[in-house]
Amino acid sequence: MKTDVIIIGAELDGLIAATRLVEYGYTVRILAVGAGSLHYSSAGEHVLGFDSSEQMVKNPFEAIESLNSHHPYRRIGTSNVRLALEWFYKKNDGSNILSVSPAGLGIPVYRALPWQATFDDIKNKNATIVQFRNHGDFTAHLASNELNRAGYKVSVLEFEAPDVFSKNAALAKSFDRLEDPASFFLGLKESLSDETEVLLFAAVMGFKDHQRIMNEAEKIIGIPCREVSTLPPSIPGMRLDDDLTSNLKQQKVSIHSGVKIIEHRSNGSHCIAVTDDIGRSYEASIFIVSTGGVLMGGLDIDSHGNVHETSLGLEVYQSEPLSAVSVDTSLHALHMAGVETDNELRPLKGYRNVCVTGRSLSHWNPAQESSCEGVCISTGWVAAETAHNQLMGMKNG
Amino acid sequence: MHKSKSISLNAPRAIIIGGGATGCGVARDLSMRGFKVTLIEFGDLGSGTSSRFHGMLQSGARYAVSDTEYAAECMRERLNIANTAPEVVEQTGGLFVTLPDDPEGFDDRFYTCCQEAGIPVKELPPEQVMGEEPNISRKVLRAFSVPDATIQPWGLVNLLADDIRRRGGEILTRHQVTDIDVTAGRVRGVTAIGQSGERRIEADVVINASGPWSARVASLVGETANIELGKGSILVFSHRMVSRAINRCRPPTSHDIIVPTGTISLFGTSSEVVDTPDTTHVRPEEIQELLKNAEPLIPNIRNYRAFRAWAGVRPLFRPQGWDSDKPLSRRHSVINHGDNGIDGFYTILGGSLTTHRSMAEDIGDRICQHFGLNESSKTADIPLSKSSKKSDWHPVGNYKNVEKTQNFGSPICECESVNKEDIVSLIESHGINHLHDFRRRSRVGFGPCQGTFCGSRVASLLAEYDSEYPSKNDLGKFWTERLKGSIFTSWGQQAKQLVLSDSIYRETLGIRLDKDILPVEDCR
Ligand SMILES: Cc1cc2nc3c(=O)[nH]c(=O)nc-3n(C[C@H](O)[C@H](O)[C@H](O)COP(=O)(O)OP(=O)(O)OC[C@H]3O[C@@H](n4cnc5c(N)ncnc54)[C@H](O)[C@@H]3O)c2cc1C
Repeated sequence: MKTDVIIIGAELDGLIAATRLVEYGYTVRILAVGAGSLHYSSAGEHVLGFDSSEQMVKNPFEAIESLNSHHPYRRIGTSNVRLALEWFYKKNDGSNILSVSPAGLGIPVYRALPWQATFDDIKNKNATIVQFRNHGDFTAHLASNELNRAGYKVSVLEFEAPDVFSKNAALAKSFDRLEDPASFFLGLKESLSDETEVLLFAAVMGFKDHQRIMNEAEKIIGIPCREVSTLPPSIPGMRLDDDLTSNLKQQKVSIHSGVKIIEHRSNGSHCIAVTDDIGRSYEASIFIVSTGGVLMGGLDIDSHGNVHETSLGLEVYQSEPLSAVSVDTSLHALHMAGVETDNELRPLKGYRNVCVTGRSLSHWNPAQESSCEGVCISTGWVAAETAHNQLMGMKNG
Repeated sequence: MHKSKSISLNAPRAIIIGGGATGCGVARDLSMRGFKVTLIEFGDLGSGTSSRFHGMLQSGARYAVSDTEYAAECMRERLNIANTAPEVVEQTGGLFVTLPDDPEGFDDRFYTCCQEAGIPVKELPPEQVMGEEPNISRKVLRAFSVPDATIQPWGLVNLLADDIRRRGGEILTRHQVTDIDVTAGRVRGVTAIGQSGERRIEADVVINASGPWSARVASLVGETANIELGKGSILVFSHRMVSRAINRCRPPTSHDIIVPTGTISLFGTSSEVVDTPDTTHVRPEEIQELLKNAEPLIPNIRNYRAFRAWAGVRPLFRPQGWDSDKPLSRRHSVINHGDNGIDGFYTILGGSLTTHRSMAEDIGDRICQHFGLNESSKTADIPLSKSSKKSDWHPVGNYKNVEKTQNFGSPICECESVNKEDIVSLIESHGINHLHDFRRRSRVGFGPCQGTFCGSRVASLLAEYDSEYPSKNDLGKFWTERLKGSIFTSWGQQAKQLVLSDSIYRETLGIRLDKDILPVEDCR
């Protein structure tokens, strides 16, 4: 069955585009190899944390002008970035706050997730970080030493998790399954020193039942409880992924996983259908490439250092050379590679009915800028607008 | 006779500069002969050429044609080290294969010369070899097996160091010798600078075993050392693509060996003469050369996952008046600077890791002669290993250990299967507090993920033991150092890994790259 739009890849940007498109009432199909990079994401909503000289940014919108002129934010324009983020975050005050990283360092985020620990939460308070025994993906001692050095008052409490699991996902699910959370938190409360004024957990406090678990924790322990992100897989990222995909499924968006697009059919100026590695074909009027760049295999680098776009064979921008001159320039070149597009996210060279989003776009560096969610959300949103305009045009003309 | 003796009060005092295989070997040799030794190393033990190498305990076959006598020395040492330190040696065996492009007739000479050098060589049917080694070329014309082996360099230097300490010797790591005191034509001691400041140490004899830095150290007293610095780069692949060390059967040049070691394979080496020992930069063109030249031997090499490259600098001995076209011999040489009026100062250069013991024996003999001592070397006879069980080092030892102890509880490094207990015991027993030093002793951060996940886990354990940790962005340093090797291989799977690693360190942890060590050059 032909759909209005096919989204290749289940990255945050693809899910956002799909969400926006079903709001407009279009039929959408998502074709993905597997889960997107939300599973690796750090918790939080990074819009623009650092400018190109690595200075911490207070107001992300004001700092957009300092980015390189091909940067996705510059391409789609600050006003679109604002509109997209307002639509998604329901927030428009435009300033960053500092979240607490698992290494005890500050990471600027545009909005803290519910229960996400920020430096404001621990300021002038006695904080305790809970390290579940054998939970290897969380580094409470590292965080506590670093925070103490920075003048905060933080200690570590080693505590038995509800289950023997040492991995994030298993731990999170063990909280969902916990029959009597009240007595678990009561036990924890007894082990806490009386001085503790705020309690920090690893971000594994429940998966589907996260809200209930955290409410229960605060109710029983009687002090604010917060979460600090962990090494991947990221439970907060998975929660968001789950929210978005569940919502899309309810809206009858079909999400096919295990589908790797390797071929396509075109009429020269437009893409007509894409084909996966076992020969299944899918037709649509518009295609959105949300394949996650190098990280997720949307871009492939061969042993000669040439970058290829793997789904539609789009032309790729790559700064010369990709190879090692120094660590930072080479890493930077890896991030900056991607598809170059016009302001509506259509590839400069390529089909008119294709949009590219998120990590597959060129000229941005999520690790250096701390801008991942912001770029993914706003480019996903703009791609949906572009698709909408084109579909309207097709209908009318 | 073999029991360790306490050092007598008037034992001669020796300072050894350099904690690579050579320096550790010399220090052990001298302490067994009754010297009071102090070994001084700039970084961590084995952090110089002794780990930036190809991993082979050579049977000597590689040099059989070009230098049969040296080949015989390698063979003797190869047997000796496998006997005295079996836990750091893996007896992989080696192969020499003739491919269509290799010079005709070389293989026959190779066979004869191996026999002359006492290297057990055996011709194998090509079909058998191609069957046993499915990843190598299908065009093998002839194949010979020789007893090449691989050696774990940090295992070796730390065994040597333990033995030196047991015999009362002192080892100073993270100390740089900055001055050698010579008064009235005799060496009196050295000045070394470490984290806790400057230290002067007295000695009756000073041995410069600083490998590629030998000329620089000799120049502290206005001396020269005839050294040629031969840089070699090596490309590291995940998995053991071959089961034996495989050489092209042709005159030894560059790009002709693949070696399985640990859980990985090493292909190399490029070679070029450089003018500074600090050059660890691998140029992009070298990587392409390595890949191109590996293809005849391993046709599918570009589709394997390369995850790192490194370069080391060979401290080759260049005899006076050497005809510059001929490749340099791998033999070692001892310079007695007493001949130039600096009594008690020696430099040792050349040789290889395989022959570090015989090199130490040679210089030890000369130094004993200098002091009129009649002590002979005992290093060939007394085992280095801690256990009497002569077990071959097994590259997947960590995994086996996990299975044996059923300890699946707290993995720190999944790539190399290192558990929390391993790290805790290193913190408790060795007082280690740099991430890099854990890596050398436990293999954390060695695998394809290059410290992406284990770095912060080890850091958190360290933080638990030391409230001052982490100081000076130790985690950022560790990560930047790992990147310095893996950035050379940013294609295929490793490109993904690098982006993931960057997003974990910078986006999730908030660690910044260490600006001080960003340029891919080392400096000391
Ligand atoms: C690419 C390559 C591949 C090789 N492959 C093999 C192989 O497969 N098999 C083999 O047997 N051999 C091989 N070799 C040769 C072998 O690695 C070297 O011969 C051997 O490691 C040299 O050891 P060393 O102790 O003399 O030098 P190093 O290991 O370099 O030790 C010298 C030490 O001195 C220290 N130092 C320098 N200056 C000072 C100072 N002022 N104060 C204090 N310390 C100082 C340095 O930090 C260094 O640790 C290879 C070499 C290279 C480059």
